[in-house]
Amino acid sequence: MNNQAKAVDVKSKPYSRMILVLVMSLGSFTTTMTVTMLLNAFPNLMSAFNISADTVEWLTNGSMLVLGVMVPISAFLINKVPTKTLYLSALVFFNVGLAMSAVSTNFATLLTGRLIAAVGVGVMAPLMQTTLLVIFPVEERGMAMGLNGLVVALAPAVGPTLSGWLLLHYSWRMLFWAILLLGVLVFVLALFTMRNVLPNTAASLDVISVIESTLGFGLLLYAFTEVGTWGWTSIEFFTYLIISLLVILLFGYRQLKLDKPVLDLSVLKSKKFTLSIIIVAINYAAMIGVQTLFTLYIQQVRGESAFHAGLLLFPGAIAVAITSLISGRTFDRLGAKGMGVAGFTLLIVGSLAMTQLDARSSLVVIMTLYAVRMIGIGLVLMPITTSGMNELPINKMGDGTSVNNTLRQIAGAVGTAVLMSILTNQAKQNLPGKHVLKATPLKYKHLADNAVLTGYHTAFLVCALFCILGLVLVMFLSNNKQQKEGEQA
Amino acid sequence: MIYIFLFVVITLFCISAVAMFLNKRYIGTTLLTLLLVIGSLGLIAKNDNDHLGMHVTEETTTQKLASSYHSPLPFLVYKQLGTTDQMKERVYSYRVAGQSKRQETKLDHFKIQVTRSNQSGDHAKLVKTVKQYQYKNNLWHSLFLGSKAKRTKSTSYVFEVPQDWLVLESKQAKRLPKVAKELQVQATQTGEREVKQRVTQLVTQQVKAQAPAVITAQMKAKVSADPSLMQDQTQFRALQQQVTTQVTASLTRKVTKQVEAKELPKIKQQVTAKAKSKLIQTLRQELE
Repeated sequence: MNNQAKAVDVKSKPYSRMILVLVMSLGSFTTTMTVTMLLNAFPNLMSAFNISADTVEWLTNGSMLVLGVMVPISAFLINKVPTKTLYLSALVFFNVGLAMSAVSTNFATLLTGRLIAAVGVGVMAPLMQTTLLVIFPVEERGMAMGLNGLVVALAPAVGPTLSGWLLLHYSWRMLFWAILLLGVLVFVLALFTMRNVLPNTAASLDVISVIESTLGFGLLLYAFTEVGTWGWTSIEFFTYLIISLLVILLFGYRQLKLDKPVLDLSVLKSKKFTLSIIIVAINYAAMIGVQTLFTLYIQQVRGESAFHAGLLLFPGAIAVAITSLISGRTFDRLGAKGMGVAGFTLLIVGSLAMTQLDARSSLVVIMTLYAVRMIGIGLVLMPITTSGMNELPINKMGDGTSVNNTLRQIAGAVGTAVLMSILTNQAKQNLPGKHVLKATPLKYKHLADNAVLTGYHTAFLVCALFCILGLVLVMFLSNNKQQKEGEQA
Repeated sequence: MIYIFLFVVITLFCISAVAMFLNKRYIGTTLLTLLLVIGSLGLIAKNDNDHLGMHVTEETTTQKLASSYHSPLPFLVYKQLGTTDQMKERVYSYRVAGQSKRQETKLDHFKIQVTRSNQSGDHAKLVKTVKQYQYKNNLWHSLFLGSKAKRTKSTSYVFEVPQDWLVLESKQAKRLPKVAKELQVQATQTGEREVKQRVTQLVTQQVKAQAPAVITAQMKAKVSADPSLMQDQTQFRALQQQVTTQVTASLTRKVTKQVEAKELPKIKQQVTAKAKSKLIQTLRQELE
C-alpha cells in the first residue's frame, strides 16, 4: 500500500487525512451524544408537556428505531451518493431536526425533530466507519478504528453527564441549542474539509423493503410501548403485535427473494452467527433498557438532579468502555464463551441486586450496581459480535454487520419499550385510588412511591430473566477461538 | 472497602470464567469468586436496606419556641393536608425563639404530638427526637466506606404548648386577627361594664357595713340634743329615714373615692386577666 503517498479523493485531489478524520470524529461524537442525551431530561419533559413515562420514551426509542431502519439504507446511500454531499445532507437533517425540537411547543414537534435528527445520525455513524476503513492503509486502520471506538464508547457516556450539567442551569431547550451549535460548527468545518473519498456505484434501493421494514419495526415498537397502557393481555396489543410480525415476515421473505436485498438475510443461514446476534441483541437491550430505567429511577424515586444522574452513570459508562477494550483484545486469544458466561452472570447478579434498591439507597450503591452491570455488558458485546462475524465468509462481513446492527438497534428500542411498559403497568396497578390522594396526601405519596418502586423492581427482575436466557444461549456457543486464524493474516 | 473488594473479585471471576473454558481446573475458582461477588453484593444490599453494622442512636433537643407568626396572641400553626383530621397528615410550622425563619416538620418517617402544659404566659417548647442509624464502630464504617454514614430512621416532634397559646390550622390562623379584634371589642365593653359593677358592689358592701354604726351615732347625737324626739314615733322614724339617706349618700361618695383610689387598678387587672383567658378560651373553642 502507498502508505507514504498523499491521500487523494476520488478525483485524485490531495487532502489532509487527519483534518478530515478529526472533523468526522467531532461530527460522530456530536451526533452519537444526542441519542442518550435526552435520558435525564425525561422528568423535565414529562412535566413540561404533561406526558407519561411511556410516551416520553419515544424520544429515545423512536430515535433508535430510525437508527435501526437507517442501517441498510445508509449502506445503500454510501454507495450511491458522493461522500461530501451525503455527509453534509446528513448534517442538515441533524441540524434541522435539532432546531425543530428546540423551538417545539408540543410533544409531536419535539418528537418529529428528534426523528429527523436521528436520520442524520443513522447515516453519519456508518459513513464514518466506512470512510475510516477506506482512507487508511491497512497498517493504520487499527489506530483509526480505535479512534472510532473511542467516539462510539465515550459519546453515549458523556451525553447524559453533559445534558445533566446543562439542565442544572438551563431549560431542556438549551440541550438542543447547545448541540445545534456544535452541529452547525461541524457543518461549516465539513463544508471546507470534507472530500468525496468513497467511490460510488449505480446502486439501487428497493423502496418496498424500506417501507416494510419501517412499518414492521415501527408497529412492533408501538405495540411494546403502548402495552404499558393497554395491558399485556389486551386485544390491541396482540393485534399490533401480529400485524407487525406479519409485516416483518413479509420484509424477510422479500429480502430472500431479491437479487440485491436491502438487508442480506442469507447470513442467518449460519446458525452460529444467528445465535451470536441474538445474544448481542439481548445484551444490547439489557444495556439500553436499564440505562433508561435507571436514569428515571435516580431522578424520580431517588430524587437526584439530572446532573447527578449523569454523574452516577458515568463510572458505568467508563467501565463498559474499558471492559470492551480489554475483552476485544482477550477475545483474539482466549475465545468469547468464557467472557459471555461471565458477562451474563454479572448482568443477572447485578439486575437482581437492583431489585433491592429503594428511595433511600446510597448513591455509591446505585453507582456500583450500574457499573457491575456495565462490566457485564462490556464483556459480552464486543467478543460475541466478533465471534459471530468470524463465522461468516469475508465477503459477507458487510451484510453481517448490517443485519447485526439493525437487529441490535431494534432490540434496544423494543427492549426499552418492554421494560418501560412493565414499569408503568406495575406502577399503575399498585397505585392507590384517587380518594386516598384527596383524604390523605402524605399516605398517598408513600403508597405511590412504593407502587413506582414495585414497577422498577419488576422491570429489573424481568431484565434479569432475559439475561438468564442470554446465559443459556451463550452455553450453546463453541469456544473455537483460533478458527479464523488463517484469514487474519 | 467492600466496593473495592467487589471489583477485585469481579475481575478474578472474569479471569477464571475465561480460563474455565480452557482448563477445567478453574471451575472451582470460578464458583468461589462468583460466590464472593454474590456475597459482597448481598452484604451491600443488607447494609443499604437493613443497615447492617449500624445501630440506632437517639438525639433529643429541646428548643424554646416563639409564636409561629408575630401576633399579640401567640400561636403555633400547622397545615392539615387532605380532608381528614389525622396528625400524620399535618405539617407544623414553628419558629425557634430568637430566630426569624420558620421551620417545618418533616414529611416522612415522623411522629407529631401536641401537649398542653399547665403553665400559662410561658414559652412553648419543642422536644425533637431524631433517631439515626450510625455505624457501630470504625471497622464496619470502613467496610462500607462510601455509603451513607448517618441515616435518619425517624423524627419525633413533641410540642408543649402553654395554656394561653393557640394551636391553629393555617386557614384559622388567617382568620385569627379578625376574630380576635371582634372578640376584643366585645371583651372591652363587657370589661368596662364589669369594672363598674364590681366597684358598685364593693362600695355597696362597704357602705352597708359602715352605715349602721354612723347612723346610730348620729341618731344618738340628735336624740341627746333634743330628747323630745323620742316621744313622737312618726317623727323619729322620719328623722331616721332622713339620716340614713344622708349618711348613705355621703358614705357612698366617700367610699367610692377611697375604692377608686385604692382598689380600682387591682380590679381592672383582675378583669383584664379574666377577659384575656376567656378570650383565649373562646378563640380556642372557635378556631382550634
